[in-house]
Amino acid sequence: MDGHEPVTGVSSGPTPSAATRFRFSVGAVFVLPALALYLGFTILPLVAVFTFSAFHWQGLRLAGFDALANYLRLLAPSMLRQEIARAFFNNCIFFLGTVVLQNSLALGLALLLHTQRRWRAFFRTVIAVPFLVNPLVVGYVWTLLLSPTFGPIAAGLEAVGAGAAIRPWLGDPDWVRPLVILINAWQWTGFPTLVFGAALAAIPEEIFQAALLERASRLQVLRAITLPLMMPTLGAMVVITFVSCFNAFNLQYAVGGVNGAPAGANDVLGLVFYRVAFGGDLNAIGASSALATGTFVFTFAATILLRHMLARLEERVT
Amino acid sequence: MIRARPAQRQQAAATGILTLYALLVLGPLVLVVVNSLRSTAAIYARPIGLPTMDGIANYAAAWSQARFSTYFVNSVLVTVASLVVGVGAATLAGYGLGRYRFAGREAVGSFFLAGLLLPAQLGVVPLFYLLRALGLIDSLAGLTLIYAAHTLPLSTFLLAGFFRQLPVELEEAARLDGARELRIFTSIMLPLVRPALMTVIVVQCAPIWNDFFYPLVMIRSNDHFTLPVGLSSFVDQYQSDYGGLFAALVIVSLPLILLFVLANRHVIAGLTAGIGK
Amino acid sequence: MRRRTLLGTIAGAAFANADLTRAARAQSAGITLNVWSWQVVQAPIYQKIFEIYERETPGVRIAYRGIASTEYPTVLKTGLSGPGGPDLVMLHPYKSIAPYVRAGQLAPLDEAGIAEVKNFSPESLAAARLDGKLWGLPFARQTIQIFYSRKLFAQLGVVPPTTADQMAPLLDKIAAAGITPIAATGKDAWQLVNVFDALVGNTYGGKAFIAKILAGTATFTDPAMVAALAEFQGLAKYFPKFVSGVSNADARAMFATGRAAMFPGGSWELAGFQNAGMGADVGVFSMPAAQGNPGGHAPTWGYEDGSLGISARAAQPAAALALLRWMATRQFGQAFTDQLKQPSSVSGVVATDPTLSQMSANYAANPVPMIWVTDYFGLASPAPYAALMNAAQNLLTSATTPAAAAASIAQSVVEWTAMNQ
Repeated sequence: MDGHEPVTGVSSGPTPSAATRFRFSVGAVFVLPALALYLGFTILPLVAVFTFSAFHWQGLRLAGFDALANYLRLLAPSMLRQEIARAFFNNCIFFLGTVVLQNSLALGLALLLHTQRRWRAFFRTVIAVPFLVNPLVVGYVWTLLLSPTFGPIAAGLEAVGAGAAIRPWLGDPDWVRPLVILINAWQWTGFPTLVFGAALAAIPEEIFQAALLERASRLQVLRAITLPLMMPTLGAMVVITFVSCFNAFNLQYAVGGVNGAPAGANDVLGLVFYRVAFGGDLNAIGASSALATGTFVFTFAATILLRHMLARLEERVT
Repeated sequence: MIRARPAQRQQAAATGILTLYALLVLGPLVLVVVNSLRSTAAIYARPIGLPTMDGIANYAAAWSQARFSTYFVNSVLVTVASLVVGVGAATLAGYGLGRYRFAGREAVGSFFLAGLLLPAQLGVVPLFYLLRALGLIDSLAGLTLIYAAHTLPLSTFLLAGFFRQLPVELEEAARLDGARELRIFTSIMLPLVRPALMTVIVVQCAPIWNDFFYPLVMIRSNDHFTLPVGLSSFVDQYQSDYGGLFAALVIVSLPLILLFVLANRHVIAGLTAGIGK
Repeated sequence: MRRRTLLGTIAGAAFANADLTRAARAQSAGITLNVWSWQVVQAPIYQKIFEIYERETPGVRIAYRGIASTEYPTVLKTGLSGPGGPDLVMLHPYKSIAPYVRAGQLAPLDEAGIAEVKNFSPESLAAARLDGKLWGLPFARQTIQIFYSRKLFAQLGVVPPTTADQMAPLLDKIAAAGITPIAATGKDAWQLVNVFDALVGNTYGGKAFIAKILAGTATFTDPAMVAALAEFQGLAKYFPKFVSGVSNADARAMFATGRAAMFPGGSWELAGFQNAGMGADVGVFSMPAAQGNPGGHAPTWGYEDGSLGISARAAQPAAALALLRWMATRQFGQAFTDQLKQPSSVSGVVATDPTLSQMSANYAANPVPMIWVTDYFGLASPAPYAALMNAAQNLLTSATTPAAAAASIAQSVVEWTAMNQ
């Protein structure tokens, strides 16, 4: 059962038949509306940003073509370059921690929900609520929760006599990275859970019934049927997680402030970008565009690589 | 739908785990709601406590500062319109990318992915100029177009994946029956991805509803602002009015949660409607 | 088909709405002036003050818009170049106006033609000068000092220090009584720049050292600066427990609720403390210098908070200028100081609030320019302001040493100077 890859499309023959050519153009037509909107409101600004990075700026005024000068300034040894390197490292850690914790947790929850008969709607709502809440405020809520002087968690520890365990958790370089991963997972796990749930629901019932008839165990079903069929969605989620981790900003800003405290342990590329873009520098647009372009090129290349690897994995598993 | 019941113990265990997770998730939120009904001074004095009467003032302040009546309507208009345009276009595109193999399909897929990588803070400058050229500054239509375009990468990506998962036999059977491409799409493929579609709508609803940055830059007149703009004024640098902040958060989040609860019924209905038909 | 109609309806409604609002405004009052500022919470107070002007100037309405300070630069950058933008804008001081000036977004002021210019000192006006022109009129001069709780001090039987060596015993006495001597934040690094100057500014040499730095005859690796950084790190034991988890809001709350005796910070904090119930309980003093305090006045650091400028695209430049000139008068300055509890830059304005007037008097008697704001401001490396922010924060968590901190600040000056050649 190779189920899900359509055979329609460009044939391997010397001349595509009229039918396949027609289907090809239909495919393209379906994509057209999205493409148009996308070209205008996303690609155009993106190209503009690339262009911006090649100029020197005075505020909002173009002040001269600079070619790669903005990039060279970012790459030259300086305090800024050290911060960029450190931020990049933090983004990597954040991604690895998130994809391991958040995505596996989401998969587990989705599987549990799938078998759940009662209360399913309730659980789905509860799981979804954290990412419905405004992300701007989530960081501040957790900052208050984890405050060693004014926070409920510290108060709770005092109450049970564990006062010695109270630390400035979000102010400790050793604690803040895992904590940020956890808080981020708290907020966003609902999203992959829902998506995985929908992917699970899309698997036709007959397949599960057939497996049951053959007396397959739950683990066997999971390994041989569920996971392989969900591969496209699982893979898509890894890619989305990668992109969002490298664009992370809101949580780190709320927890550590604009300089990614403590001691830069929380500094991510998004924060560096924010400082460069809004720190009052005259050439802010030029420098920040260069940084954004550089980040984009890396993330884009890494995403393509990731998708390649995932596609090959998909083929092997199915 | 016939399915052999899993052992009672396994079922209970699953429910137990889900309940535990639900408590972990709800804990901080319950705290937010409780603290939204206490004055900021009380929150500082004792982190855990019961709501008090003067906590109601938080909601009054948040309501007036968030200008609920005006901003709410704007938020609804913009979110609904953005979803209709954005997810609509994404469904079409996802279908095209998921079911048709044409030259450059991978490239187009990656092309859409690129949009996810553009940081909003930087894209705002060229977008501002674009909207100004179109005469759409200070208009909800301008916001709608921006948000619709923003939902495209994620929605297209997800929907393409879902469409790709559908079995090819249905399509072939329909073609043998002589159905045209559009018929296949609307009558067969679309209903099958309904739960997925609802899911995409729901997850894309929140980022649009909660965005405060684009309205802050693109909107000028008070009548056109959206809800989160009012919220952002609580998070000013010199002020930490926790009581007001939490009250505003509850006000802004409640519509989304209600929407989710409603949409949930539809999603479940879609799931139990019998996909294997 | 349906989708297109829906979008068309929305677009049409949006446009119609915009037209209606504009028409209504034009009908009700002759002119509406838009004033943008980063002071969000104070919006109602500003609106009340502007009502005075509206009564005196019939036909003019003022619409004040406060924008969250974190977003202010972005909103301003685009706002000054699009339709429906502001007429009067609050500008950050010194080099911060460069992006707007160089992009031609501000209208230069005709100094000779504006009589109110003489209401400001040359130092104040310097905050709005660039490229030889004046781009705005100052409005507030913030000072940095140490707030203290009169009640707690009286309870403990202590008084503010008049000489430098009285500080250590004072701190010890307060700590021995179980009260946090100094409420400082370890999380909000920007505030640590103020705390640093307020507590150990004299140790690095105050005004004399700053002059040498600017002249290039001293660097931040000099022993005086290292000593100041070391002293700052040593003072951490008087900061709140778990200081690296304490936000500025938490520190304010600690001071306002009597859990801490002192709060080093800027003059803008006064309103918050008084509104939190401290009232007249708040006192101020400046850290005495070991080198001597002429006339009994300890050095007080300060800087111009900003200026008010006119957009180059203002729809009614003459009306905007008239409003600006009114905001440079003693009448406005007095209302500003009395109702917003911030020191006005307009000369001759004496605050009715005794604590506020004492802050301004301290500064007037022995002013020290806050170099981090006047010359070295920036959030991104290599701005020395950012370097000090990080250094002070890292000293509190022992993530760096005084010598290494001093080296990083000196390095930032080197890169900063090279960048701004």
